[in-house]
Amino acid sequence: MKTSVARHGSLRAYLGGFAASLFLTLASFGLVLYGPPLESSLLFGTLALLAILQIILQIYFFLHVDTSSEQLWHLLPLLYTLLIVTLLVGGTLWIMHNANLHMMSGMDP
Amino acid sequence: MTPAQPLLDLGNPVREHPDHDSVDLTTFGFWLYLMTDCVLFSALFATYAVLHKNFAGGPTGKDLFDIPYVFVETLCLLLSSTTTGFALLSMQRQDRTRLLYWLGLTALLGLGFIGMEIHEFIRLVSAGNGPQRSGFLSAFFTLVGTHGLHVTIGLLWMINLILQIGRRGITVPIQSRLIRLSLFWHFLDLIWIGVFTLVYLMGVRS
Repeated sequence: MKTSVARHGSLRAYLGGFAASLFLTLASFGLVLYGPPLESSLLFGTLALLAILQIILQIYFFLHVDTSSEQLWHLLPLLYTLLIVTLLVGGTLWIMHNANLHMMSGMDP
Repeated sequence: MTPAQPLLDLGNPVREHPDHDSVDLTTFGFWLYLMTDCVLFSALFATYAVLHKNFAGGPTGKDLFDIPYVFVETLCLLLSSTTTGFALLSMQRQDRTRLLYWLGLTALLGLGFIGMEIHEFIRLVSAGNGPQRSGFLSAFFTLVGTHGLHVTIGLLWMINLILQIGRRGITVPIQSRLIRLSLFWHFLDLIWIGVFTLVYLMGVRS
């Protein structure tokens, strides 16, 4: 199993990751602080997209996980975890939303 | 009497036979730990998402959160994540002075982050807005506090490693620890992206 020891990225990867992250962070904060008064679903969608993009870029540039064969052992647990996280968070929100609808009707949320 | 044999003898390869394959294996094990930590945080994120509107007549995110303040915190953590990378590059070149410099800078930035977070918590609690105020604040303190606890443990680990490097130099076991610490630290910055987006940025607009 050859993993990350041989390669800890390069100066370019770290600087590139930093620049991209800084740009996306500035975009997120700028949108909330100085952005136009967007509809909240549009604003939240954009913020979520910016965050997901930054997470993917940092996994690539800082954690050096990619689709190469030597990184397969890091990528597979990551993808599996992504599945678990999706089920956990999505399932929780779904169940609690339904529970609220059925048990809290007529009450203030 | 012979000592009990473990069913699966993994030994302690890093300490006894420090070679790169065993370092890889340890790194992989640590990677799996980080994945389970990811599941832990996702449970806390889910809890926050469920409770984020349960204000119980108390203050909302709009009343409490200071976005420019959180931006400086975010910048501290992002910079420290980058300087960890520089530390790792210095480690590869066996440059002890540079390595100590970058690790020291990373620790200072991490200290700045956690200091700002503690200051924020004190400000909230002293105004009566502690975790017991509402479901929203309970979930907030649990999620952000757990992240802060991770950063604190990472800082103690980092200071410990700085002392070890100062005493013993860049040995293979220390390189192995440094690789794991850098994974941990990058991972905490990843979690923070979720925190500042979901809790703070969406919190002041909902």
